[in-house]
Amino acid sequence: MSYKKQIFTLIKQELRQAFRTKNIYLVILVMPLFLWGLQSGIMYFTSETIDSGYEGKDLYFLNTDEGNTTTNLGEEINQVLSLLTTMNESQMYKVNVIDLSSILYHDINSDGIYDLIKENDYSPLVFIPNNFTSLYSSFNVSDGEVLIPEVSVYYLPADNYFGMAIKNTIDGIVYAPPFTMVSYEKVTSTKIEMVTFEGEENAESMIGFITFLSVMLALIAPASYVTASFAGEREKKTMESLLVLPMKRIDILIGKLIAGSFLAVLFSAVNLIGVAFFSFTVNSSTVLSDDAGFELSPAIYLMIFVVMLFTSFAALGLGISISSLMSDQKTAETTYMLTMILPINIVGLIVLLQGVPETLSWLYLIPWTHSMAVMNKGVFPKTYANSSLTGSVTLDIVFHLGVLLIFVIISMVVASKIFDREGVVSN
Amino acid sequence: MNAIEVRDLRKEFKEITALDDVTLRIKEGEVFGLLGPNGAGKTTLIRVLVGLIKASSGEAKVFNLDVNENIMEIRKRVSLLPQDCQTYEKLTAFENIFYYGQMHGTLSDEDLRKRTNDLIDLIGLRGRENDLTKHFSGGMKRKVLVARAVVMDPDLIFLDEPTTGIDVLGARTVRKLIKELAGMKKTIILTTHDLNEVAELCDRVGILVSGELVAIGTPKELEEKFKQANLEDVFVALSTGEEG
Ligand SMILES: Nc1ncnc2c1ncn2[C@@H]1O[C@H](COP(=O)(O)OP(=O)(O)OP(=O)(O)O)[C@@H](O)[C@H]1O
Ligand SMILES: [Mg+2]
Repeated sequence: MSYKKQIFTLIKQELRQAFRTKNIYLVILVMPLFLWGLQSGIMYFTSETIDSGYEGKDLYFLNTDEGNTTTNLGEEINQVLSLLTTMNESQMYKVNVIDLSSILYHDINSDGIYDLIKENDYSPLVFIPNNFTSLYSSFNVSDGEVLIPEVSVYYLPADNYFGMAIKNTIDGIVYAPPFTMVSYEKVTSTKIEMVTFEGEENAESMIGFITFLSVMLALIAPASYVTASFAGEREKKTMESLLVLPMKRIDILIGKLIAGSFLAVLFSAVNLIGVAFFSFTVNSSTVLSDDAGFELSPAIYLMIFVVMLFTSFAALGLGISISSLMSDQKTAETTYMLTMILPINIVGLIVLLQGVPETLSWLYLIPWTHSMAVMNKGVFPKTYANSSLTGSVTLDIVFHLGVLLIFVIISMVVASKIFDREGVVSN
Repeated sequence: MNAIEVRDLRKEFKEITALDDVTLRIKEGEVFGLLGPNGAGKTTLIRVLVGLIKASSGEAKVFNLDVNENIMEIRKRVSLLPQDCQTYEKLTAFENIFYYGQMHGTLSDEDLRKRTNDLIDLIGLRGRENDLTKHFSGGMKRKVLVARAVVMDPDLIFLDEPTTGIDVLGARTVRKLIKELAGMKKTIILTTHDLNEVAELCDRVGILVSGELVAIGTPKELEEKFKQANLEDVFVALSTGEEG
């Protein structure tokens, strides 16, 4: 009988046991699907309530438009908006539009607006600049220089969804008569901006969240298999009977690793189903889809899959080392989780900071930082173009994947050394 | 020919001397009882002989092959039931035995299947072979483990306390199995704390005390040599230094 067959039997034995273990299903199937389902549910129900309207809410309107001799377009927007508040089918139905124009802030600059909003709680606020009509009238695509007249929607973080709904409404107004742009000769745009308080910048994006949850899951997932397969076998002394087989130790390790990798692949695939469901929920919600919505291309799915795989391989290596040092499964599980808390926190921090700041570049010593970097740079190549490490975002991604791969290799080598110690046979 | 040949074997764990210059020979086909109080070094000696740990000094040969040089060749003819070993609870009795044979890799699947089924009959688990061993009693599990240790038809079998912790009936089945293996001219190294068992099964015994082999011979020889009425008295005298 060939040597390969012995390893194959070991893999079969490992997987048979794994698939008869409730915990493994919990981690591989239930955890990702449940978490993503939960997130989707939260997104869906919050947006449902939002979609149902904003009756009774206050909307502030500040028109500083000076108009021209015949018209004041800012005022026209105000009128359409007021009309919409009386229309049952509008999202703005029964919203109180409070016109701040009488208080007159004609020379207000952006800082002034932020203070105005923060101090008086004028949120959300629709702002029309003083040159809106004149820019609009003089605007001509054929001119070289293009200044686009712009309506701004400001809001405080608490009015997140209301702000987005207003932006959608204003979009609807400026794309309809009298602002119609049949030939695209005339253009207006709506800008939306969250006004945040210092130190409370809400930097989390949907993708950041997806990345975080995926990497976190990839770090936790290998725990129950790897601790059962190494510390569990030591605890039950079955490890000894494995080690006295006419098989090299490294081949026993490889067999167990292949079984673990199979589970990691399965888990990463299940996670993708969760991500797809989540993005579907977000995108099918009318309120969220415009700004929070995101396109997840097949390339991005592939990337999430690859990053998760690398991440869980490295976690597998770490798990083998820990489990080969601990004499029982419970201790190994606890130690594994404690070891993972720090990196998970750091991954969370990176989401919050939207990348690794230059002053914190030592964070790159933590391998999962590279998992995050691959995801961030892959999804927002433009954002990260200026801050790329190697000069190109593509090269950066290759670099980060390379570092992850090196870490995977190192963690496996360390694991095999620890597994090779006499101490693996314990009293 | 000798199945096992050990000369001046020493094993030290930091301060503890687990094996203190042990010298011993065990012939092929012998059933050899390894006795000694807790911590005497029985398990350590077995572990050195199967290559799980390395001796600090001395020489150990199995079937005339040095354990440090030819361990893979040795392992093809040897098997071990480790002390306190448990079954894979998530595998059935059949899987526990059959997979182990497959991983040993010396017999064809056909032979293994036949041997696994024969062994299941022998240990009286026919009808339960496809149940997960999770639901088995301690004695049933132990029988599965003994079957697992012999499924690949090894020439030399180390059984480290195979009857400890199971009931009288379970122990009896295990002993019956050992007798059958002895009848097939297998070499068996057995550790146990049950001296009646030793008297019943073993051709010769060796007594380890604090890593030292203090006596070796047939039970009869030892009784005569140490002037004691039975093996238990010999054991007590040697492990405590007092007269029985
Ligand atoms: N891995 C190890 N590290 C340190 N000390 C060890 C190790 N393995 C065994 N020992 C020590 O070596 C001595 C012999 O242990 P061993 O397990 O061989 O005894 P034993 O005769 O099998 O005992 P028991 O009847 O309890 O099974 C003991 O003092 C034990 O504490
Ligand atoms: Mg022992």
